[in-house]
Amino acid sequence: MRYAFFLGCMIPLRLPHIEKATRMALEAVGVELLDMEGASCCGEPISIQSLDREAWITLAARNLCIAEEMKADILTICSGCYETLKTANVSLKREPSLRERINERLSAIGKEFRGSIEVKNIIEVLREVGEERIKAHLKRPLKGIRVATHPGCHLLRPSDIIQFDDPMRPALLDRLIRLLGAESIQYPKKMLCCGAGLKLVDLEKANRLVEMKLDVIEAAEADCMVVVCPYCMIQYDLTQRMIKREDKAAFNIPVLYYSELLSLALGFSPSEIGLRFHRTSVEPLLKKLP
Amino acid sequence: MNEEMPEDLEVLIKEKVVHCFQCGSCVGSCPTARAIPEYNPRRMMEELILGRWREVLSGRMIWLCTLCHTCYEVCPQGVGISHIIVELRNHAARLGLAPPEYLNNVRQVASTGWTSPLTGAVQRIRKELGLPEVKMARVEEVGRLIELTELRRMMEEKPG
Amino acid sequence: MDDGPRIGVWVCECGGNIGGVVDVEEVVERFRGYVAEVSKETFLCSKPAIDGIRDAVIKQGLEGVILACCTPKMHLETFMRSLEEAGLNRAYIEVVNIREQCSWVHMADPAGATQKTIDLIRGAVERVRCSTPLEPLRMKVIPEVLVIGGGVAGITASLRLAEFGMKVHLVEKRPSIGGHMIQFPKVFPTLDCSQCILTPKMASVSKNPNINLITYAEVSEISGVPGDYTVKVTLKPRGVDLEKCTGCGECSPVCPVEVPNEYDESLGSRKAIYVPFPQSVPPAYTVDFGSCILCGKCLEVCAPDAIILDDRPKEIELRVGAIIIATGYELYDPMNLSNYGYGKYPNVVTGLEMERILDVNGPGMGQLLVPKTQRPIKSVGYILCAGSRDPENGKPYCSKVCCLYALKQAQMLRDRGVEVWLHYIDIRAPGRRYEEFYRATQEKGAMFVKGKVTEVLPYSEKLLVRGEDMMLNIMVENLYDLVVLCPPLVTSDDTLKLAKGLRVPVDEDGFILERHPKLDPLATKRDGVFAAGVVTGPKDIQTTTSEAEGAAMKAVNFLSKERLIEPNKAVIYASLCDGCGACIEVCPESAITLRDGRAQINELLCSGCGACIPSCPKEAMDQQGLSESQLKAQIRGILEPSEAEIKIIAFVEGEVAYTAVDLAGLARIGYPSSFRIIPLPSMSRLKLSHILYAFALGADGVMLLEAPEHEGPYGRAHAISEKRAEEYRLELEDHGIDSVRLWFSRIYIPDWRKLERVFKVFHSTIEGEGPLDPETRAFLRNRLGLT
Repeated sequence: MRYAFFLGCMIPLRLPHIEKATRMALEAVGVELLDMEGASCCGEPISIQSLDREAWITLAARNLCIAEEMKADILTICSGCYETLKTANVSLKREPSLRERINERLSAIGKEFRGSIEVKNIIEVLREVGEERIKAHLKRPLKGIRVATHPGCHLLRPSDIIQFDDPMRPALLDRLIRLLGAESIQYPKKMLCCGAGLKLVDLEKANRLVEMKLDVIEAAEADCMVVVCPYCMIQYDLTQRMIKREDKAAFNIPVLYYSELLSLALGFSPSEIGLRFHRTSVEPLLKKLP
Repeated sequence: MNEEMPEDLEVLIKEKVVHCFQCGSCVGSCPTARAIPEYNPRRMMEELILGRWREVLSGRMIWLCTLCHTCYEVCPQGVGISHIIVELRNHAARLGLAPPEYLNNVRQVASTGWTSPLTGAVQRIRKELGLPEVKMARVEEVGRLIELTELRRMMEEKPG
Repeated sequence: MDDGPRIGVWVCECGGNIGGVVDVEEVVERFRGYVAEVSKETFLCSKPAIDGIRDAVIKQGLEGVILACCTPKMHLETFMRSLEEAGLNRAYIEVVNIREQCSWVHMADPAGATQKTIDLIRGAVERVRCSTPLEPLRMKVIPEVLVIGGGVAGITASLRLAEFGMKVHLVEKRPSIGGHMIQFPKVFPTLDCSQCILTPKMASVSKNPNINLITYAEVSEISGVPGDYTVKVTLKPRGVDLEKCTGCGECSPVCPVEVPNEYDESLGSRKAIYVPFPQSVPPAYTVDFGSCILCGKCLEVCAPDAIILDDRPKEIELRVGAIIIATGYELYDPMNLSNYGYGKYPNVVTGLEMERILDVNGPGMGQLLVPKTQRPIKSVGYILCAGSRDPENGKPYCSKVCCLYALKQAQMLRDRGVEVWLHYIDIRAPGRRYEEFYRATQEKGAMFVKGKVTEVLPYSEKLLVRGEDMMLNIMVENLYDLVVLCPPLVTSDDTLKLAKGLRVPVDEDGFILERHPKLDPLATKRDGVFAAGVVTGPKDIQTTTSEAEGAAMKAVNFLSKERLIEPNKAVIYASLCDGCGACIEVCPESAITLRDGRAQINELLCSGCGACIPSCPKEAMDQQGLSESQLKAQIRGILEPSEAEIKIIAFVEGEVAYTAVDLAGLARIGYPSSFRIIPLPSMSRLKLSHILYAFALGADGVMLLEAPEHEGPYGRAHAISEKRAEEYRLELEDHGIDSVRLWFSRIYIPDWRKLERVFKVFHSTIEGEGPLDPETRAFLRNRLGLT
């Protein structure tokens, strides 16, 4: 099992500890990760999509071409990149006229989109690995840990492009949580967006969305929150520290990327996967680990 | 704004937006509407149907969508509101109405290939974690492609 | 044993259902010697048991049979059929309900249940001893149907009836059939040409030998009874001999008189001699004597000599068995909505007028022109709910078809490049392919603004429409070339006149009231009178034609057999009647008339509710099958010999309330055994004397259980009984009886649980009062002439 490993910008340049945990965990369960020479920003789903949708598809197509040359499906661990690359891949395969226009542009850099690969997210890849195989590698089942999952928007929607899990009532991330022995709790506002897309124009209101979500997660007495997107990660891990609540103590909810939780269950130590680099301390969670 | 309605916007309204029967499913499911009560995608669709597209394009509202695509999923009439909003933003951007923060992002990508700079601090952390050095993007290819798109004109017109 | 009819009593044990509580042996013993034959059965409803009773009737020459078993709702009909075969008259067969009314409800009181069983059986025996034979009335029906109204409903019903072989008289007030539908260029949701689909049906009507088509005529009088009506029809002077006119059309061009054409909603014009539209049926011309100046120019050019300028109205008489009302609708008059400027501005029109404007053969001959000013129409604003859903200024109801026809017109206008805005409150498009039709209208580019328009004002040659866009929360001020109002469909004066003549009740909006809105929507409250289409409320063409088909079949069903009428009618002893007319006022069916100074009952109209009987100051009235002597004998039989401590007679309405009592039994609800039930058609059958009689003979309380006002089978009879009960309570006080001893209650079938409480509360009230004192009873007996 080998994948062209598309890291994007946010993880290697801002959250390298997630890259570390992901590499360790995936390799441990037998996934070979191939680095992509010359890959760039996916195409950027917020600003560039909003300014010029075809430019967005164009930049994404270049990255798809690199993987096509490697003859490997793409694994991306950022939901923003996932939406971008998947939209480009699906649309270019579906719409011949779009493909023609984009390929004309790509010819300027000597590339051509052929439609020979697939774009996958980390949950999809882990499901391909198989629950049995992952289970066989687990060293530290996370019994008694209450996890609030946040699947995030672009992992699921728009569903006619993404076609992964139920767009409004997803279950696959929760299955993977239970696979590790932990409990995936139900909580209100589970599908509420992290607000990253609003940050550029209204930071205060974007933070308000974070606060709404953390409020209910705190009330649900979760031990930690699990995300699969660096945008969501930054919203909940970093923004959490910036929120000051009236007559209430500051939030203190550990936020983990799924591969980090997986790494812990696989027996890696918190220090080797760099959990100390989280802005919100993960100590309360580590103390509860069996 | 004196422009005639762009043709593809007209097609979009005629084929998709007209089906909106103002049920409010979009508003009910919208994260931004929770944080910003004035934000109302249902109203935006009504304005488009009634020909007030200029007001919509020039307003701030279209830029408040998080693109979470929840409205896209819940709309009973298949209007595809979040896609409509992307189209509206594209049109507004062509008319020079994009927020400067968006254009700054494009400049960053055009010059480095990434949306974020590679800082010394991150390089140190990577080393500490035993991660390989960040593979450099082929920025000249990215720049060349951006040159071929409308982004180029947008960046020229309004320097951030 | 007296020398009345020889009676047999059978008591059923119903397995243990009755026998487990009631001491059946004891009951049988009590009646031995009292009647000619008495025995018990394990299951009275079994075939061997029924055969045995039949044999006993024949062998022992029994003249009356009392069956004490479960509720008569279960097996009465079976028993009747079998015993009638044995030669017994149905007036001599009684079922006594000792399961639902005794064993199942007095399980904890076997002695009380046994005493009650004995009392109830004795009541039935005494009643049967006073019976007289009953014969059902047989009536021959006239196998012809009158259909009133030649719109799509009347046309459809007539064709269906004719196809079945029934003779039909179709009466239409206008010169041609076709109704409103023929005015529409297209119909929703298929957008097919309405004239193309209706014209062939109109032609079939005129060609069908079973259909007597009578146009330009009105029904002026209807008399008779269901199954045999006499109908007077006034033929308006048509001025043209239908037989002679070839429809050549030479006459119309020479006519110097030009008047507005009704077919074009007066937007176009016609001559004084005219056909409303080219495909009129019949195709003959009509002289409008209201506008004709009798110049005689038409006479000169009429080759077949068909014109009769001194034509007079004629009256013809029809005899029919059934009537279908299909008189359709009118539009609510938008002149009442002054803020919309209808009648003030020529460019405010109704939806019906818009149909004509849109028709290629309409006043604009295909061009979309504003009436009068003839300016081209480039933009149209629709005002939906113009007078509907508006109890303050118009009608409270939703007119149902307006959204759809507005959508239809919007599509037709969009197809011709006209800008269309619809101002609506809600778009209501339930129905097959209607929501899809709404979507298609959106796709064609019609604009939808939610919010009721507040006013329409002139603005140079256009109209300014002002209202709220509730979705944007802004004021809308739009300019249109034409404003179309969609007023509600309303009932017509003709319908109301007809309803009055037929004594068919209408609802608060003047629509014909269905016999039952859910379960019998095509029948009216009168036997033999049916309704189809908008006469019962706004509806679309699809529903109207379905109703017409259904109404036709109901008429066929009604006329397909000899009518057997229950012999439960009121009777008048003519020698006692002084013609005061009190009964006439009371009768809910208007079945009583005064003839030669005496009241006379039309047995075919009388429903047998019994309401008239107590109203007669001369005691000149009685009822077949439920005579005064039968009723008194039953009361006496139940009460006089009874050994029960407290005795309460419960008169129970026979359908609704009685079924509720049965259900209470089925649920084994327990209540005191003091209640003895006597069913009556309605509580209005009861006289004060019946109640006094009961008290005199041993009752300590009397309960009246009436059906709810609108749910019982006898209409108004169930309403008036409550007021009577109030009067009786006052009169009881005058007789020295505390009015708490008379209880009146209404009971719904689903309310049967309430019975437990009602029975218990009344019983304990009477228990608290104690038995009626012997002095009062003696006084009453004396008063009533009892020994």
